[in-house]
Amino acid sequence: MKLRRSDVDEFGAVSAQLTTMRNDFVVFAKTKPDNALNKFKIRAANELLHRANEILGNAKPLSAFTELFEEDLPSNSDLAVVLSQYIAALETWRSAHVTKSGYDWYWDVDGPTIDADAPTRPDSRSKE
Amino acid sequence: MDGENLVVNPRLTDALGIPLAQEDVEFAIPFIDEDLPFSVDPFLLWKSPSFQEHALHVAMVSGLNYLGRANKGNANAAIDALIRISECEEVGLGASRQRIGKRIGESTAQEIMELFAVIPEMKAGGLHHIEELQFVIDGIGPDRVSDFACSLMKSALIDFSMMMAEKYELPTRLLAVRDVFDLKSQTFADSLQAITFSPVGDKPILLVPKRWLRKLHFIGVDDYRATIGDQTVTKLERSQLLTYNRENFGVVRQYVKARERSAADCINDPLFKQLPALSIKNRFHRIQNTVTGKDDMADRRYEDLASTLITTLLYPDLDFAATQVRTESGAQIRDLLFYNTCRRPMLKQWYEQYSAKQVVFELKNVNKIERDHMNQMNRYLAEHIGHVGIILTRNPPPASIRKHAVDIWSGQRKCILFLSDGDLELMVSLYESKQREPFEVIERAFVNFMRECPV
Repeated sequence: MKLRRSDVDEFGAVSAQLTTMRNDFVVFAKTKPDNALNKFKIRAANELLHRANEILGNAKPLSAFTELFEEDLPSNSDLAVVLSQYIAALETWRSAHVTKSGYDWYWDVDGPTIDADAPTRPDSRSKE
Repeated sequence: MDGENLVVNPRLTDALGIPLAQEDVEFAIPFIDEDLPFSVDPFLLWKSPSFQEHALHVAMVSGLNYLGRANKGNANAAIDALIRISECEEVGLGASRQRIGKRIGESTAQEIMELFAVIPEMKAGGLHHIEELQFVIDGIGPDRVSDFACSLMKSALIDFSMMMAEKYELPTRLLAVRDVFDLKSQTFADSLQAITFSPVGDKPILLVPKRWLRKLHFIGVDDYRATIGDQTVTKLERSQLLTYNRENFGVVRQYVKARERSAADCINDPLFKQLPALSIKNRFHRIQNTVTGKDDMADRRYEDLASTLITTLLYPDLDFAATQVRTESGAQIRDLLFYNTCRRPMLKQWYEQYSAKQVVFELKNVNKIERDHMNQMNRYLAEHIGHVGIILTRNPPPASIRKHAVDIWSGQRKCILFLSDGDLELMVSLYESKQREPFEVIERAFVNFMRECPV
């Protein structure tokens, strides 16, 4: 099934934000891995995770995991691990939604073409 | 109501069934059975920026001066009044274990009267601060000064108690408050008021603002000795010091003036003082280095460290009530009891669903929790305390013990939770980082426990 342009835009936004957040938390996880996340950070992370879940559908990285729960007192390292998993899953999803034409790669979208980077995952892994 | 079905070391609010956290109210929550080990420091009223509080101080001192200067015809009445105002039972402050203090004797009252004739400074201008009595009369200490102050401003304390009763919906009862000082007529009379009361014995209870309380008075004899700088005075015995002070009252006045100049340093003492984060971390490291078992008194050391740690970590969500030591099957068990303040939704749920008026912590320095430990806790979770207990131990319990806890919940609806060193470590890190509340670690334990329980 071909994507809509809005899907590609949403992917770009979520992927960039998750990567930035992952980079931040990798640093926190190195200095204070067991420090509990405050409620604000959990809410911020959950908002992004929900958007990523929408994009990934059945291709979520962890089948039993959808969001962080405040009462579980997740730590910096917990979130760093989760974010890395999501970023990997998003890249797998992206790899499955780009096609090659000539020497260039494009998103599988209806309408005008959108340039894409070359896939970094074998396209068979998450073709829907 | 009798005292039998009350929680351990009940406070007024707990006895009335109104859970409140000390942190959230303006008054010091009094105990039902014993005094609160604080006293009203009149200097806090003197230095208060509030005109009303300063005026209260003026009224107190002038009331005492009026009694002290009573002429010969009224001397007996004044002595009687001094004796009556020397104890203020209704506020329940001081060091009494029964909430009943002793009044001063007639000879002490007589001595106070004589001061106004013997000491020139007092003859001329009377007392400037009630605390000055401690420097010249034997047997008058901070508690007595506090009682004098409370008795002389009883009328204001009645107003404050009524205001607090209305604000926090504390029940009141029409009772006679004894010996209320009337500033206009300078006399004492009983006053019938709808006032906060102790449900045990139906006695009036007067509430005192937290901001007036200190453990040590700002103007005090020990501080006087330490700061006066005169070696001869410093080394005097108490009785010799009193004589010296009477003969050299100017020195006392100089000290009092110096204290007035440093009034900015005088602040009220918090009713519970949390340990600083560094101290908490140090204590936790000492716990980590303590071996399990009883060798070399390790259990006692663990209990001491863990109890100071947990009382700080859980404040203000749980107010510390008491430590109880009991012996069961030859083993000594140390429990920590906390008042349930209902400050958090989960505490409210415990209060309502598990009748947890208090939350019990049992400290176990063992390598592995056994069924016996759980059964001991289960027996302790009686109706009047409630049905939530937490076993603080070194390692997470094995699956069989967790299942036993679920079985107890299924059969008796009693919650027995476990906190290990790992949980304690997380609580310490939360206390330090301030990212979340340490109590949330207990909430997590409860949520996880409920996930294991059959619906």
